[in-house]
Amino acid sequence: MQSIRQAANFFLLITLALIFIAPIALMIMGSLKPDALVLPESGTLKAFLPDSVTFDNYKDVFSRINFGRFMFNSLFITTMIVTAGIIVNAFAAYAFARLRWPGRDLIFSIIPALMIIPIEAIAVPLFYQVTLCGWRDTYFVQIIPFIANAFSVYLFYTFFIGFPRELEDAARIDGAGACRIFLQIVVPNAKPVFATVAVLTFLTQWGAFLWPLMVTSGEAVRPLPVAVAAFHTLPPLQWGDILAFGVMMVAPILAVFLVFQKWFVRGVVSTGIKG
Amino acid sequence: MATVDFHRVNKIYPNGAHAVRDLSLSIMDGELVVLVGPSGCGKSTILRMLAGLEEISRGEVLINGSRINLLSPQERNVAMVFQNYALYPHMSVRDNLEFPLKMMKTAKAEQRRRVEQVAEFLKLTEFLDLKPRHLSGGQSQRVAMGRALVRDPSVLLLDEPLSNLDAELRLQIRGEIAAIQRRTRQTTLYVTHDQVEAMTLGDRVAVLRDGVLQQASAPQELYQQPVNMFVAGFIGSPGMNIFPTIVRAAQDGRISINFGSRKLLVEPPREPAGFNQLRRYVNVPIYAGVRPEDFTCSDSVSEKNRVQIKVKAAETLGHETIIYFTLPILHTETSVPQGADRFRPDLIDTASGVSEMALRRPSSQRVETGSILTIGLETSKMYFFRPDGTTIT
Repeated sequence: MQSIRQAANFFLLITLALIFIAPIALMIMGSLKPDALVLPESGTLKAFLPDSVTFDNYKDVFSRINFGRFMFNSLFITTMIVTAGIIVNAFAAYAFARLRWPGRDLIFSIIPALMIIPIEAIAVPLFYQVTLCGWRDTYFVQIIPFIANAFSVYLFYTFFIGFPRELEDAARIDGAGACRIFLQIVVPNAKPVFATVAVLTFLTQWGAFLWPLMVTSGEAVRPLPVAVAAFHTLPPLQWGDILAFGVMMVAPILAVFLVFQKWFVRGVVSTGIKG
Repeated sequence: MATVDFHRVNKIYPNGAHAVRDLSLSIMDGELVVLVGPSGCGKSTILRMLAGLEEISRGEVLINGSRINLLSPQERNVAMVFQNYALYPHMSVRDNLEFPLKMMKTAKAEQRRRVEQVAEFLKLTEFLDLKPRHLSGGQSQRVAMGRALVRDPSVLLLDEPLSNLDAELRLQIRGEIAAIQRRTRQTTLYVTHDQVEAMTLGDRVAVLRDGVLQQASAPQELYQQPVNMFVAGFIGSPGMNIFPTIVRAAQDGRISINFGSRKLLVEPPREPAGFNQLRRYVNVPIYAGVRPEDFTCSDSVSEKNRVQIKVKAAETLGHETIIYFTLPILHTETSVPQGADRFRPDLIDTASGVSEMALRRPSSQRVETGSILTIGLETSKMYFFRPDGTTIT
């Protein structure tokens, strides 16, 4: 009886796993097939088991558009947001969690409210603002508005508020000032939360579409999500190429996740967030 | 080497909580003073004010005669050992020990020399390259001590340093701390809630209650001459038994007191300390106290001072047995002194009308729960307290 139940469980789980993996597998396999076969075979088992493997689609992507440029743009913008965001938000959260200053509690009470406002809601006024500043079509405009992030501040805050105060007290008595305590005592012990914020910021910003579409016009500073939309409408419609584009666009996310996975999981556990 | 003076020190938190009231206390050079009291009595706050981790709301703290109220922790040159050791988890033992020296910008060679010296002194040399998570509780404790001693502070502060250790290790480390302090003659302020720790370690013990210093004396004096009911009940394990009583004077001038429903005769040579003062409280409800070990065998006192009790519980500790019993409070005869039960509400339960009592017996006699025991009361060893809780002497 028990083994039947176990078998049923496994069956269910494997089916679910296959359903979730299927689109990704389809994308990877499709990108490796001759373009002409992608669509006709997509309804058959051959969608997952190609007869022949070719990298022509990848070459196509590079020859049809300036893929390297878009990739660089995306990497540059996202890396800048992640790096600057980690610094700014961690400092802000530490100030909320540990320093005493007038207005702290009032300002902190606004943070959760800021978390629930989506970019779509403020896109238009923000657009006016950056137009007035003359920032359109720059890297700047894609980076600056996303550095300070209420959700990141909140994640850091929950970690810092639970950080053992005795360690900070000990460092103070040993003669360290607030900045040194933060950088030499708190930060080295906060790797999980830094990894969590880095991964989450990277994921959201890597897929950013609406804002870059609004504020950029040429390909000079456009990131991958806008490029893939344009590529999709670029005749002739070649599914193999689009899938190859997709694979190359997802690869950096996987890389980031694999690098930070160990800390990320610990961070998710310690800050109590769920995916 | 340093002296420490607290002069009418107060701590008032922004929410109005008055954590420490008018504390005046002087610590001599090389002395180990233990602050002891129940949790929330302000003892850690005092330590933190001395360390510079808490602001001093009112009053002055002096180290070597100079006012340190506004100095940073580092400028005060105090070192502290925390309850959870507070070792920096990402640093090796060596880096932990070096950290305070680095902050003081000590020369590299000197850093090395002092770290190695302290490590040898505390038998930590073989652990220098380990991270704190690889250390046992006792080793972590020694590293924490080392980090405090390495900079040769003027005052060493210890905040419940043993409370995270198991019983056996606690005893061992307690001995080590005492030995280290004796060797270094470091002026030390030690905070604990454990009165046994306080009594065994302190040159002097300062008992605190609700932010007010009750008494600061040598352990033996604290035990034998408590200034009030709180100190009497707090020191000792179990603490002094306290019960409401009333003093009666017979026509011939002899004095008797109540022990529950029994009248005990106070006659020479069995007068307690403050016997003459006691006469001033005739017919006034007051408190009496007797230490668990001061109940004697029944045959060593006159028949009038023998009492039968019913054993409520007995704890056998090997060399001795602690016997618990209750003593009825006679509302008809004695009204409980107004407001004084705030001193030890756990000891005097006016609602249930009994005082909880404990007595100590050698384990040679077997005692069953529920059995009746005859005990003797030596009135010369009893204490008496005014309705406000202060000792009648």
